[in-house]
Amino acid sequence: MKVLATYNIKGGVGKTATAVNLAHLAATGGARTLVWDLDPQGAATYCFRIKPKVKGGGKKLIRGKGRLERRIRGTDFERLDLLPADFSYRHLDLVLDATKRATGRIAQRIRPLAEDYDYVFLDCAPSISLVSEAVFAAADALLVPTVPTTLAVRMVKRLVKHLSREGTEVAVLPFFCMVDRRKALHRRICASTDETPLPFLEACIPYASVVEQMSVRRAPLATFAAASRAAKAYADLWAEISSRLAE
Amino acid sequence: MTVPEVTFVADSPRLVRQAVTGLESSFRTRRDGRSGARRSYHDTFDWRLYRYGGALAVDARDGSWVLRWLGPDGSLRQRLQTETIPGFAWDLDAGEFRQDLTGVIDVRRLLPVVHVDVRSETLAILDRREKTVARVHVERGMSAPGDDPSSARPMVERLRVTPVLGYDGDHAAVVRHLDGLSDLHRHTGGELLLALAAVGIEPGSYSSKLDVPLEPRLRASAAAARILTNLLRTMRANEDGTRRDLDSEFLHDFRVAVRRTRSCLGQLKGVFDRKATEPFRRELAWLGGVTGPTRDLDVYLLNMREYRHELSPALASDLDALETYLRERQKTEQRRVSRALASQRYTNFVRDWSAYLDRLASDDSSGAPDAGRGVRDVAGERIRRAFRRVRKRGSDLDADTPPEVVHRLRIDCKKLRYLLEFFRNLFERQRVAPLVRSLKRLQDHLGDFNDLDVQQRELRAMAAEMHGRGVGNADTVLAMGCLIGRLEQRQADLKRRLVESVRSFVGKRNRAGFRELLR
Repeated sequence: MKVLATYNIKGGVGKTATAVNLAHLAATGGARTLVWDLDPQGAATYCFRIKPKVKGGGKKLIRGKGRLERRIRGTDFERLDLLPADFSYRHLDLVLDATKRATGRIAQRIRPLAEDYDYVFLDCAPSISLVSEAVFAAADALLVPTVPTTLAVRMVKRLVKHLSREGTEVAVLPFFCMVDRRKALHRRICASTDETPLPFLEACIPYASVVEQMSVRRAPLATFAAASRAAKAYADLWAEISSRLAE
Repeated sequence: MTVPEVTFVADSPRLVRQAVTGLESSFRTRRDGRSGARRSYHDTFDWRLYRYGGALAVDARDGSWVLRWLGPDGSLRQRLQTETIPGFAWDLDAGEFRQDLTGVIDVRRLLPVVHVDVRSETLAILDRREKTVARVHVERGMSAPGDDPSSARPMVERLRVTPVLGYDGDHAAVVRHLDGLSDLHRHTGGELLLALAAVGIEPGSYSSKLDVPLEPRLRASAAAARILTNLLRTMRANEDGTRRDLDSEFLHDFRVAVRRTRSCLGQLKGVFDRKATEPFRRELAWLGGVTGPTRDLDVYLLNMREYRHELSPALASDLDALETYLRERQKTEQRRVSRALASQRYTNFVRDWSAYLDRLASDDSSGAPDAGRGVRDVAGERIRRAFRRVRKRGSDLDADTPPEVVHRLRIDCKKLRYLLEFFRNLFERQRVAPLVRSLKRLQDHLGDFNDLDVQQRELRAMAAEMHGRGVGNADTVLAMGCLIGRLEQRQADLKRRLVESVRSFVGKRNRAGFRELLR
């Protein structure tokens, strides 16, 4: 089982679109896939048309001894399931703070799922917090959607530095997202490699209104716009990420 | 993880369509399109997977095959993708699937039981967010027998309600709605049973187990006719598989039926006219003889894997020459068996034996002394006698008893066992079952002991033969010698356990058991 977390401290950069689309691609490709929507905003949950409610709330989920399975719901797509968001997740930091061995909690809760799933996607809330620390500890890789601006790239570097200082072992896979080819800054940043000593993935997701349509259609991109540039870009991204993980 | 799927059938396609219309008005729904699938269900000739509970479905998928091992309620137990459809469990790659499958089918080959061509229309049941919370598949199709794919027949039309994880309540609501329709009935047993019903195949219809219905006062000759007819049916059922050498157990079941037939004729002497049965006894001896060598070679080849484990890896590869030699010999002997079963001599035997048994069942003017007696009396007499013989020979057994005597005890036990099997239905189940179990345990030990003995002698003979033909080299002979040594050691250990096993069988409990049984 591989655990992938879509992570970025900033909101609105494409974490959820990434999680939903890559998970859908993974499942279509034959892998049993789970998305855990950790964001109290519940965007991924909304995308899958599932009620953002989890029995017992976030507290029970993190601290409870019962298995996660009972709260998981099937999406409309084969081999793709969702552990929904719940508004109580806004208190997850507090719950973790009161828990022993907080950093390992998420890893511990998802470990038994290895029997049932090949991939688990953790769709994170935009923040840096105790929950994020727990996600870093649980994940095999962090997928960091990055808008190609100087400041955004700088944040990625800081994240990598932070992780190495903490000794956290997790692969960081940043990639450019919401790329607008009309902007010179975007073009420059995507092209240059010396400004970004940390290697970004080759695949780039273009800014496309069709991606915003996901929350209107409430479905993964490939189900309604498979021929679009954005859909193809996500497919390339998944191909790149999955082969990286296989190494 | 979630509730099982539920299938409903109706007496006509119109009723199914009505049910669908009913669903569309009672629930929020969406037609999700059509799909088709072609698959086949596989099982061993003796229905091992079916008896275990469940079925093995084989679907073609993008140039390879997907095996789905289903539980009795249609749920998915295990799934495996393979390049080729397995005949034997060992054709699959090592893993959980192969291991579990081996536990059920052992050395038998999987054969296609039925081919299915299904058309499916899916109706999604939605909640108010238009999320699919359950699915109803309307399925129709054709099914054809595994050995005759061209003679397809239509299957009953059905509605299959599948759940979505986490939405058990919605699934239950749809099921409740359909339960409430008087024209629909629940169907258990999945697609396989519907496919079999369409082509008139009864699942689990073949078994090598002997289970002949008998009434205590039935004339002994009529009872014998029933038993022997049952055995002839078993022989005939295994003919095709034996001729084609599909797996080793066809020949084995054939031989067991022949052996039981000969034992019946031998142990119920007063029931038959000796002169009338003499030609049949000769033909049965011929069948036993011509099939013997092939069976021995089958057993060796099945044991080769074990043999390799007995020896160190270095020596194990030296057994390759032996295995090749065995395969060649098996092919030769198998050809002999196929020719025998295709021969006029065999056809005549079956025809004449059948006719004789028909006459024996309906009228008996043979004048044989025991023919007219009640079968319960005759059976009781023979069983008592057979047990006494086992007791006598068995109580003399100790660590110094030579192998020939052990061999004779083994034969005595076989005779007793056959009698208990022939006449099983004359006795109360809970009286006879523990005796058979106890006897079986003893027979297993005797059988193992005998096998080791035979194997050692055969290996010696084979080594000499191979040497004579210039097959294999010094290393091969050394490896075989090492193997013989190991087998000798095992045999000595086994002898000790055997003595205990015999003492236990002829002990107080079984003596009382037989007394009770035959009262």
